[in-house]
Amino acid sequence: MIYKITVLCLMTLSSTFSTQSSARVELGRVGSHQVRISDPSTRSQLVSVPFLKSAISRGRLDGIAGSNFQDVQGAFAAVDDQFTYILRVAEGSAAGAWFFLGAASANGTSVEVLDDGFAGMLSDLQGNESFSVHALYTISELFPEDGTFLPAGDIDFNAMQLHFYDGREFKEFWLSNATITEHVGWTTAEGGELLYAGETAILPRTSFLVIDPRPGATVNIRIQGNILDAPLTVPMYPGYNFVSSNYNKRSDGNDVLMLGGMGLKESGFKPSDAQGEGDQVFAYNAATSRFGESFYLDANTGEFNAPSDFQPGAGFIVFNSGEAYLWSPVR
Amino acid sequence: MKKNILILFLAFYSALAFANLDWGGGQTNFSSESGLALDRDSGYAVLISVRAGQLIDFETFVADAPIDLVTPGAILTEGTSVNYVLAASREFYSGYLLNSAIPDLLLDEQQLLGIAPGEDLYVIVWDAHTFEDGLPTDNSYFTVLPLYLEGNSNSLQAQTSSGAVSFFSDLVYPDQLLESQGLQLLAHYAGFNTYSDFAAWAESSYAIADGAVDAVKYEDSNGNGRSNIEEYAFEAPLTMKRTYTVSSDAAGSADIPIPYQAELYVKLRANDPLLAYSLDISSDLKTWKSCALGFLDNQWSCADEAVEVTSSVYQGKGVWSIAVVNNQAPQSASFFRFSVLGNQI
Repeated sequence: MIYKITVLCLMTLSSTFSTQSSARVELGRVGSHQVRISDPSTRSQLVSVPFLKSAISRGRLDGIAGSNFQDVQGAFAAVDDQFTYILRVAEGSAAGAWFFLGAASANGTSVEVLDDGFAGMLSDLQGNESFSVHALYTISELFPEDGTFLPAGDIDFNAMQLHFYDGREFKEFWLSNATITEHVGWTTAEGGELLYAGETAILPRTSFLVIDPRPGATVNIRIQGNILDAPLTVPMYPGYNFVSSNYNKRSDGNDVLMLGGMGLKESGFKPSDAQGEGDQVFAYNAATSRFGESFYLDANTGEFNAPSDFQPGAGFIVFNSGEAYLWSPVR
Repeated sequence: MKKNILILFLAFYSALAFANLDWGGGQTNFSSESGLALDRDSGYAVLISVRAGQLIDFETFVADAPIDLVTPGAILTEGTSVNYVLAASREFYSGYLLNSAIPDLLLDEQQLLGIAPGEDLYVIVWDAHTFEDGLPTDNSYFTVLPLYLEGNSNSLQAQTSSGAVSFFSDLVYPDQLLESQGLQLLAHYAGFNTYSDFAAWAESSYAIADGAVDAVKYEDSNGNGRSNIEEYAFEAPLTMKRTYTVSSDAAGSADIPIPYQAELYVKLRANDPLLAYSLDISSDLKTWKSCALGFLDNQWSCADEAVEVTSSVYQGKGVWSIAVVNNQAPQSASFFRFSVLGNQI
């Protein structure tokens, strides 16, 4: 099934994952995707990271103690609490669920779970699931910050910007050339200071806006990462959710990237009788920097009102009119 | 390396809202009364909307309480003019009021403030170092600037949201061409000698009683070569930002020779409805083509298609600074004359 991914302009490679000796060594696949972040015809782009980074370790859980994962082979020894890691459940009924990891024990046999329920529930696990541990991409890893490839500026308006929707408004980052900051690189205002923010982790399957201040600029970046066995779960909170597709080994079939084939309607997306009455999916119109075409799940037919697909590397917006749910793309 | 994921945890925070106004100072650099770039200690910005009437002249306005001037939610009323204080921020960095650092003013917040669509937006930047006990006083300095969508002063002034509800924010900030000029705009709150009618001005300046006002309009009471009405109508002295010979006559007008497409700057008073200004153009100083200068929706304009008012910037004390360009075909000489129609006063 991996070969069909090549149709999606995906360059597939094979690699052996380097893991610690006690963890299972497994052959996997990584991919590479070119994302356009600046286009001469538009001011902003809605983009996403279509992969996870390659796993730093894999294994099978040996239990859950309180809010700690257990692995007697020490699979968590490489977890550094200065970085952001997630544990992805690779199989079973909870496949696709993922958890933020905190501090690991010295021998790596135990690791703390942060924010249980964000994209998976500990109570849904058996305690013996196979898993992989991934560091998350940071802003500075994907968007070079030395000012040569992307424009750095004295203030926000003269610099490359990234806008992440935080459920209420956009959290903005800009590329400082150190004119008014003490650092070169990604910057955000926090607590009355302009802080360096290059290490900010980008959550899996979120989408975000990239704004280039230069009219007419064309910039593509290439992102590489791990093609997962199964799609990652996406939390859908009430209100607007900036989300995306990502590559996985189940990306076969003609409809997997079609709105009706993404598992939204099976996960909790609510049908309605007409546009604008309930849950909706919005494309992003880069030309107007506003919503583009919108879609709803027709209560009468059980299908979306119009066909549309959303490719990995791009993004779209889901409006959830009701309670929070977890979008598990394939059930 | 500091873990910095908490902010992205918020990416799925559950609040449902519709962001609306991403406001700030854009590319304008603000400095304090002492000339230093404003920072979080010395800068205080207030977002104002005009609910009814005009923007209040904050140099002459006396608020019910000083705190009202800088408190979101306060309603300021002067005569028929009603202005709302929508938001306040101290997000100044090296003189810049960064849009990206100020929380957006969301539509639901605007609704809580009782804001209606279509209200003109301004930012007032205060020098907080001239506050006393954290509040403006008669000795505080500030500047007022109109806001535009994406700083485009060629478009209409930015307003509170109307039309379809969208959670994408409207990016509003002062004229994008106004870079460090903001440094010169600080004015004195509740300063003296701020008048909106000639009679009061004449009485204060030269102890001329009401009954004698008409008689002294065209006199030069202080002997500086400019008539009284001219001093009142044009902020003295009449200025140009390029070096050209300026001459003025004594009949309430000023003749200013400038070359083709030179940009002429003049400061006019917009707070006196009895004042009417005229812009006259000549190529020989003998025959003049005249057009009235209009003031509407906080923009100056001239009905003559050859004349373009390229900027209108509020200077405080009811005074606006405008820039004018003559776009007519090149001539060997071109002259502008600004006149105030004193017979209406």
